[in-house]
Amino acid sequence: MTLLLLALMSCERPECARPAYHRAECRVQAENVLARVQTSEGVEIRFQEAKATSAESWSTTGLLRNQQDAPVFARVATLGDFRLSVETEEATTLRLTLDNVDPRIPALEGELESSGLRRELELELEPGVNWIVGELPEAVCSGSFRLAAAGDIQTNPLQFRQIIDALHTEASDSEAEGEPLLGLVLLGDISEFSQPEELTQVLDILASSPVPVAVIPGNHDVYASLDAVFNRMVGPGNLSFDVCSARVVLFDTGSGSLAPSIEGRLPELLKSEQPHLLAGMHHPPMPGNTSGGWSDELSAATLLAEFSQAGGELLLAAHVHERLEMLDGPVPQVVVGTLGADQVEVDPDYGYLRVSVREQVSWCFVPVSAAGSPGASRPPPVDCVERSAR
Amino acid sequence: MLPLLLCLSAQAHESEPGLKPYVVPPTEAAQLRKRLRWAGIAGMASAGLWYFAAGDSLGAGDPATLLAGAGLVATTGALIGGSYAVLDPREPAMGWEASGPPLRLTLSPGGSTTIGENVPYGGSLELAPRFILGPELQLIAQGTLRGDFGDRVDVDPRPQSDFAPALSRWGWGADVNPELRWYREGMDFRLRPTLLTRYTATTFADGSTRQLERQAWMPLTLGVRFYVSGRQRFGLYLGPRWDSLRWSDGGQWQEREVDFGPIYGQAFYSINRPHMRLPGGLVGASRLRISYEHSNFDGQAFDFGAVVGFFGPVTAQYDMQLRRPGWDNGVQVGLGVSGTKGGQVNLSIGWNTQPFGAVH
Repeated sequence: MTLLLLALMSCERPECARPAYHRAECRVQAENVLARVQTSEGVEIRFQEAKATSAESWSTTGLLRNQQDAPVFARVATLGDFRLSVETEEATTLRLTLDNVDPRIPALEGELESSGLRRELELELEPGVNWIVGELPEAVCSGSFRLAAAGDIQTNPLQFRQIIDALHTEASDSEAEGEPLLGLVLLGDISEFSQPEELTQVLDILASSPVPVAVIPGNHDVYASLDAVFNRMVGPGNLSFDVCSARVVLFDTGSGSLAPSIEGRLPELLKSEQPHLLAGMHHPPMPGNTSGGWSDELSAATLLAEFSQAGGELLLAAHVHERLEMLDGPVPQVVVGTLGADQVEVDPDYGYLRVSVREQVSWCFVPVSAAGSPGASRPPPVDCVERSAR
Repeated sequence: MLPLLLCLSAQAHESEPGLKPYVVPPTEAAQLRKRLRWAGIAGMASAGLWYFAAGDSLGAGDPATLLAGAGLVATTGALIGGSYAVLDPREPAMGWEASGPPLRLTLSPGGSTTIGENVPYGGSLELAPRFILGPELQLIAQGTLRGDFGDRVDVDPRPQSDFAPALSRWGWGADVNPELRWYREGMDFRLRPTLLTRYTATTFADGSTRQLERQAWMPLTLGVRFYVSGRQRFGLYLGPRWDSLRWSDGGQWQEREVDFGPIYGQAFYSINRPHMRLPGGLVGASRLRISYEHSNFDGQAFDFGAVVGFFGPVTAQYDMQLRRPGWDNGVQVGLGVSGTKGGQVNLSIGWNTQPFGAVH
């Protein structure tokens, strides 16, 4: 019996054939499986890179799922442009709900209705490959732009709701200043216990965001072993995309390191023709004395080396429930775990980081105090720190 | 926690190589064990309070995590010591014991059950000759050379990738950590300046390569070890750490970046088992050592649930030294298990001898 058990344990099997979604590598598989879907009519829908011309493969730029008695649901995971391929053997009609779409993107083919970040489509499909293409108007990307970034909501989604409300002001002010806000990068720990109800609450809040939101997981979002709950409900945790003149590469470090396959693809993911390169993750690769570093320091060092080598300008992270700037490492790193997670303090330091992408990349912390709070205990920097582009 | 630990030293004794053996009355050992247990509980409780009530969440940082790890080791040690006292109450004098051997070879088994992947066997050669510099002063000239016996290979699990190899990696490294020990009544103090170096050669999915050199400098690591009884010890190390990183794609190396790193710390508890007679006329003396090391330099973090990246490795090591009666030398075999995400196991064999300068 013991020998039989030992023999079974030593049997070779494909990676993640026995699912364990607390492992980063199995989440890589899950997010790729969930970036394509086949309908009961045999229509194959796939998320693609924004500039893809072939539908042979697919990419983790979104989440797709069939819904009972409702259109197919597609959540765009990136900011700005996006693309889906829709392949069918026979002419047919497809109803699709597209979520997390920038409101500035002009009406899509087959669009029935548009509300906030959501579009309802009814597509008349021709046999072969059909494309759904969303592109920001050229005028939006003609100059500088802004992104907002922060992480760590955990047990305080209502504070996060206030921060989303504040983003409406940021969006209108930035538009007026000719530097449009193009999205929020949510740097993980959007839940405390990896529970679907917690994620639903945050997704409901995201529905009121004025701009699309790119979300990656933190350690609190991905420790359920048998359910890839984050990937199933929110989308991919590893993604790279271009938004106007910046390449943004986001990593799932919820397990304290990169998945080995993502580490192996770093040169590919970081390669870009864009003049700016930014990266976001939950765990800071340079933790200082916070005790909030990576489980595997080799993985962090590999990322730092590759990001620096690729000309990366700014690393964004969270995990530590405060804001820290570490500018002396191989690349500048800013930690903003300020979306509502407990900071113990009477006067917590909540808010988001405004990243301005001009000829140079610069950043400022924008405080959004808790209701009834006398104000952030640490004043925001008066001036943004200016960093040079590559 | 420190005042409680200092109490431990009140009736401590030693039986290290080159030092006099001795016996502790069991009642005194029980009292000291109790103090260790309460010190451990106080450490863990203080760390918890620091994290969740008195600090700024993760702003409590390395000191609180170290306190939690040391408290865990102290509490576990007291429990193990108590169990031993019940199951095996002998507390004999020991002329020699299982301890760090001057020469040791270690093997970490590899292998993978994932198709297309490979986890290589790893090994290390450790030299740690002990020099007696005076009646209370010893130097252990420690150094370790370690490496992988092959490439670690990871596949790309994406369905669209056909599970092709995504990452291939080979690494080796060296540790230089000489330790000066000053033996006092009931405790010893240690200075262990340390330099860890790791070289890693990586081949990425697109065929490009990268060489990385990582170093951790810990020149001011200080340690103290308390004697809970003649065969039980509890110790702590603490020191600042500086990290450096540089890389190359096969040509010129980048300039080295040096940054202030996480605080380094270690806590350990060890218990020696009395001599036992073995077949073939051999005598065996064994030691169980549990430790917590606050460092993820070698990627062996102790993660559980949402607690990811905070704790370094928690390790249990069992060593047995074998000698023939009257011999000054012995062979020491060991089995180590790290309670890490990978559950690392290692096997070791070492050679023990008298310290240089010992009176025979």
